Amino acid sequence: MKSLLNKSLSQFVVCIVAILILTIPLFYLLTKTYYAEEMRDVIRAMSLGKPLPPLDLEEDIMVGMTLQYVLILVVLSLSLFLVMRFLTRRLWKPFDDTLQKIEQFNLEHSDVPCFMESDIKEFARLNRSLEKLMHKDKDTYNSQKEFTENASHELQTPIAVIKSKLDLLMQEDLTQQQLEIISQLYQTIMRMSRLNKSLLLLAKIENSQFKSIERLDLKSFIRNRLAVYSELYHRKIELFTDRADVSIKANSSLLESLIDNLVVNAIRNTSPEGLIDIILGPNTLIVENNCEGEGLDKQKIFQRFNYSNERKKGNGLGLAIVKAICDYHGWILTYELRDGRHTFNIGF
Amino acid sequence: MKLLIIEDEKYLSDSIVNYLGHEDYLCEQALTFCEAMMKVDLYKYDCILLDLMLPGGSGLDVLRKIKETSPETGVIIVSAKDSLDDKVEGLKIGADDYLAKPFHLPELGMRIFALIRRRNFENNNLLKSGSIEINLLNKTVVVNGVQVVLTKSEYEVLLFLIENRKRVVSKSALAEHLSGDMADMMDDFNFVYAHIKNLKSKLSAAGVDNCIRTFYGTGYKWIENEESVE
Repeated sequence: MKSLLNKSLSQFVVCIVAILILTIPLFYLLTKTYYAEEMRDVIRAMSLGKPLPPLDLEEDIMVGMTLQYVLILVVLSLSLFLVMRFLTRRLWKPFDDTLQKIEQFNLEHSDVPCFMESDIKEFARLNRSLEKLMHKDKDTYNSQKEFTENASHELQTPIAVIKSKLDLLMQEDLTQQQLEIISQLYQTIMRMSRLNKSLLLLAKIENSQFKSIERLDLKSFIRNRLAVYSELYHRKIELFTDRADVSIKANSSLLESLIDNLVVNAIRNTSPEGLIDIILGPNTLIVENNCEGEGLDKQKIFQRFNYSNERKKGNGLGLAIVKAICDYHGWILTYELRDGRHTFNIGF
Repeated sequence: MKLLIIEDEKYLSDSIVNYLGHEDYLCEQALTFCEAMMKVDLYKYDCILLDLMLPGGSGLDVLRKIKETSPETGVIIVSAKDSLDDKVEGLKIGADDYLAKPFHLPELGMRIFALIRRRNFENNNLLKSGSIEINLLNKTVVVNGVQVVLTKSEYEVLLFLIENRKRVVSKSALAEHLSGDMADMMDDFNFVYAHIKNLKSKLSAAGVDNCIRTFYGTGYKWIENEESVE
């Protein structure tokens, strides 16, 4: 294993030597025609016994030297060019590869990449430490994800205990005042329970525990849910579509959660007379409801625990769940205030 | 009726025993895996509540043991994990029902009641309370020989209250029973009140009055019409 500097130097030297060897005929020719020309003239004249011819020694040396310098310069720059252009690219290939893999690395979705083997010391070191760093990151990320899930699991039992004790307390002979206290306790424990369940759902989506994906007809799926809302909450919601069916690939329990969250969110934030519409296109699903106040912050609306207005409704996770479900399926979720109506748009 | 409650959380187990103990149920508790295995091996039960996460072993192994020694015992899995895999695995081994923690005691009561009824009276699909007769198979309600048309939610409320008779059922238990996971999303449970109101007026029109007692909007209790009990 060599260091990068040594390797490039040795490659450079090898290249020069190679080119020099290749250019030996040129040098030979040069020497013969310039430096040695006079000498050959003198020798020829002497052997023939003629008088010495006129010599232009200085001029020959000047031209010869200049040409030699030019030749050497050409050899040097040629080898430099070759080394830079071809050898360096090969030399840095593992680095490029590493760079590309880091750019594509996604803490959430991808595994730690397998880096290209390199016989250069620095690159091998870089790859080793990167691998270590990424493994550590990935471990931390995983344990954090698991923590949310485990913590939520562990909380289920204490919540179950409190719930059951309240159910028992209800059986006692209670005064109105005591019942009111119990009612508030019920509401609080239900809030806690649903918060916990939502966190658990989010953790499960992030941990990709909803693997089964099936082909569903969105139109009949929504129709069924609307029947449930109308039965339960006595709330009529219109579905507009000109399609006979809209087929999508999704996990059905997540899709149900997505539609429930969007619609119940709309029901919760609209007065009983307010209109809630669902518009289903070939590749889009739009849920609209009347805006009875200001529009929502496009940037923050899908963040967890972001209460945009003073009225604190829901548990602050509903839209985060919607967003997580869309991300999971690769759908695009946007929000805008259009004609005084909250508009949630999902692009499949 | 003999019940075994396999649950490692003592307080929760006590609550269940306390809630069910008033009926004809004889409840026994097992708090650990070993205790559960031993009791399942030695005694016979009509119904077993089984927590999947037990100290010392997996509830699924207990389930296998139950199905081996007395396959006719009804088993309801109660789990905090709420994972689809466990549920599928449990039902495949032979569990009859699955309930995710945290649950309301009336919900559990109803599931046990339904399970035992299914096991013991296979051909009896009639549930009676006073002059009210519910056909569980085609989900119809008949009062004094006259059919009362109820919506799906009203029917569920009625059944839930009757199955938990002699008990006060909280509004949140009803909400959760009616809407499942969606109860989590609504801020209040006023929609329960609407269904109760409609149910009361329909029953009253059919001649059954004061059968649902309201406890300050927090809980409801089914009052059985004593005179007409057979």
